[in-house]
Amino acid sequence: MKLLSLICGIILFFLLPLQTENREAIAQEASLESASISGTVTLPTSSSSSSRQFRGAAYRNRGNSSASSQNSSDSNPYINTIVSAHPVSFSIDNLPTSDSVQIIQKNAVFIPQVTPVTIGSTVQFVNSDSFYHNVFSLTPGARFNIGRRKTGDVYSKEVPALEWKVSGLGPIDLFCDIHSQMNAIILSLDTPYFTRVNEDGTYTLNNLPEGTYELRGYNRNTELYTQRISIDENEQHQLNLNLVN
Amino acid sequence: MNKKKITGVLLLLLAFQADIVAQVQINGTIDIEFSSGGSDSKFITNGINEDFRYLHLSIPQINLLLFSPINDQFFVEARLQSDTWGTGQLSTPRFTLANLTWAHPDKNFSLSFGRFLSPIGIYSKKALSIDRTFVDLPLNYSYFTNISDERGFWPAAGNNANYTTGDVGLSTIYLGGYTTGILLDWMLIEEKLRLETSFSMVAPASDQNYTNLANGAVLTHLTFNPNIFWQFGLSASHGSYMQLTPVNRIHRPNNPLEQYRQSLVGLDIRYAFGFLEIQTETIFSYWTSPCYTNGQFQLYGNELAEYRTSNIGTNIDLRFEPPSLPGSYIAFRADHLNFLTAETDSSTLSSDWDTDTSRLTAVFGYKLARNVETKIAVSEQTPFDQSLYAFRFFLTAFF
Repeated sequence: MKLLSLICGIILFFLLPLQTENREAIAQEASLESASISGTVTLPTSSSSSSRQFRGAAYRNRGNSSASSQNSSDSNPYINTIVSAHPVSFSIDNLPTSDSVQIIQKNAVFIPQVTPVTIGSTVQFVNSDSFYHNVFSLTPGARFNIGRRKTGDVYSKEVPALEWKVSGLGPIDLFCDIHSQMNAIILSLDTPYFTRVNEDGTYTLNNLPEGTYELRGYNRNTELYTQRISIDENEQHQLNLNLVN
Repeated sequence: MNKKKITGVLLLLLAFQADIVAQVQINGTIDIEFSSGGSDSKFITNGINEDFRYLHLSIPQINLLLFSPINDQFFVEARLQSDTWGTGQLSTPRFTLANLTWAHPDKNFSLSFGRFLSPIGIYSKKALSIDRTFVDLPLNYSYFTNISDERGFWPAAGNNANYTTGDVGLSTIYLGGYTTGILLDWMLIEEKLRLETSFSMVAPASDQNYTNLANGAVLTHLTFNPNIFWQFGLSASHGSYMQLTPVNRIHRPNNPLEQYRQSLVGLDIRYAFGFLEIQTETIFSYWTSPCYTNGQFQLYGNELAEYRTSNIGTNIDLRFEPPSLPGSYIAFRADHLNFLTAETDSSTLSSDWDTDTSRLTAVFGYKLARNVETKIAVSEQTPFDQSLYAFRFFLTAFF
C-alpha cells in the first residue's frame, strides 16, 4: 500500500507542473488570439513650474492646483493617464472588481494620483507618513470622511456607483483635511477594459472581445478624449490618442 | 543711447530672462457673513461693530494672495487685504503680508524677510478664515485690553470705551497674526521638533507693520510632537511695543518709549484622534507701560510713571467631525481672559486693570466644496445677559 502511494505521488509530482504549464500556454494562446488596441498618447507640454513644496509658504499649499501636487516619483504625466474601452455593442453582466487596490499617502502626497477601478471595487488607503492623514471626498454620490489615521493604518473603502454619472466614468476627488495641498482621484469605471499609460506614453488594451467600444483617454488636466471604435476578433488595432486640446 | 548700446541692453536682458522668469500664482479669498450682536456689541469685545449689530449682510474680508517661486530656493509671497476690522466697513486694500523667503535646498530650514505670519501662538498661523474651525479668534487675540501703544495703561479703554475707531487698545496678540522682521523656521528633528524664531520690529501685541521708535522684539515658538496623537508648543517673546504719536510725543525727550515692554509666554497642546481634535492654548502676558488717566499721562516730575500689568488667557477647543455627515463638523470653545493686578512703584491697584471676560462659542461647519465652507457660529460672553452675544452665518471661499 505504501509503495502504491509512493508511485502515485511520484506520478502526480511530474504531472502537476505539466498541467500548470499547459494552462499558461492556453492562456498565452488566448491572449495572442484576442483583440487588442495599442498606441501612443500625446499630452500637452507641461509648464516648467517649480514642484517644490516650500514649508514656509503661508498660503500656497491650499492654492495648489491638482496638477502641481505631484511629487517627483509621480511626476511623469503619462502614468496618471488612463485609457479605457467601454463596450457599446454588448453589455457586461458581471463586472469584475478588485479588492487589493491601494492608495498610499507618503510625504504628504497621494500615490498614485489617479487610481482606476471598476465600480464596487474596494480601495485601501494607507498612511505611510509619520504624521496624521485624513481622506475625504465631497464628490456627489461618493461623499465620505475616514478621519485621522496614524502611521501604518489601512482603511478599506468600497467605491460606490456614482448615480450622478450615467456614463459610468466617475472621477472621485480625494483630499486630506490636514494637508490642504493633497489631492488625488479615484476613477470609477463601468468596464474591466482599462489600463494605465506607460511612462513612455504607450498603452495596450488586451483581451478585448469583438465589438464596438467607446475608447476614452482620461487625464485630469485635459478634456476627456473619446472615440468610437470597432474591432474584430483577434484584431491588433493601432490607435494613437491626442489629448492636446 | 546709440543702437549698439540699446541692442546690448536688450541682449543682456534676454540673457537674464531665462533666470528671471518667475511664475506668479494668484489666489483669493472672500468671506460673506450674516451677523448680529447684542445691545452692547463692540468690535473690541465681541467682534461685532456696534453700528452693525442688527442682522445684516456684509463682506468682512477680501484677500488677494500672491505667491511666486523665484527658483527652487527663493519665493515671494504677499497678501493684499481689505477687511471690516474695527469700523464695520471694508477698508482700503493694504498689504498685510509681504516677504521674501529663502528655503534651504536640502534641509527643512528657511529664512523669511519682510512681513510674515507671527510664530507666536497657534492661531496666528491660521490667518485665513477657511483654515479656521471657528469664525472668531480666542480672547487672547480678539479682546482689546486697556493697554494702548500710544498711551500705555489706559483704564478708560477696553470695555469702558465709547469709541470704536482710532486708539482702541491692543489685544494680547495682534489679531492679524503678522509681524515684521526676520523669521527663522527650522525643523530641528524631522516631524518631531520645530523652531520658529523671529527678530521683529515690535512685540506680538502691536498691529504696526513698521516702527518709528527704536523698538525690537524676539518672538519664538517651539513645537514638539512626541507621537502622532500629541503636539506641544511653547511660545515666548519679549520686546517693545509703543509707537510715537502726537499723543505722547511731548514726553519723548525725557522718556524713551522703547523701554516699555511686553513679555509673553504661552503653552499650546493639541490632541487628535479619529474624528476628534482637542486644542488648548494659554498665554500669559506681562506689560510695562506709562499710564494715561483723565486725559493725561501720570508723571513723576518729568518722568512718566511706570505701571506693571499682567493678564492670562486660556481657551480650549473641541472639534468633532460626524462620519455620517462627511464635510461637516461641530465645535465648542470655552475661553477665559483674566486680568491680574496692576502695580506702580508707589501703589498696587486694588481692582483688576480690565474686566475679566469669559466666552462660550459653538459652531457648525460644512464644506460645500473643497475650498468653499459655511459656518454657523453663536457666542455668548460675560456678563452672559445676551448684551454681548454674537451670531454669524459665515461663508468663506478660497479661489
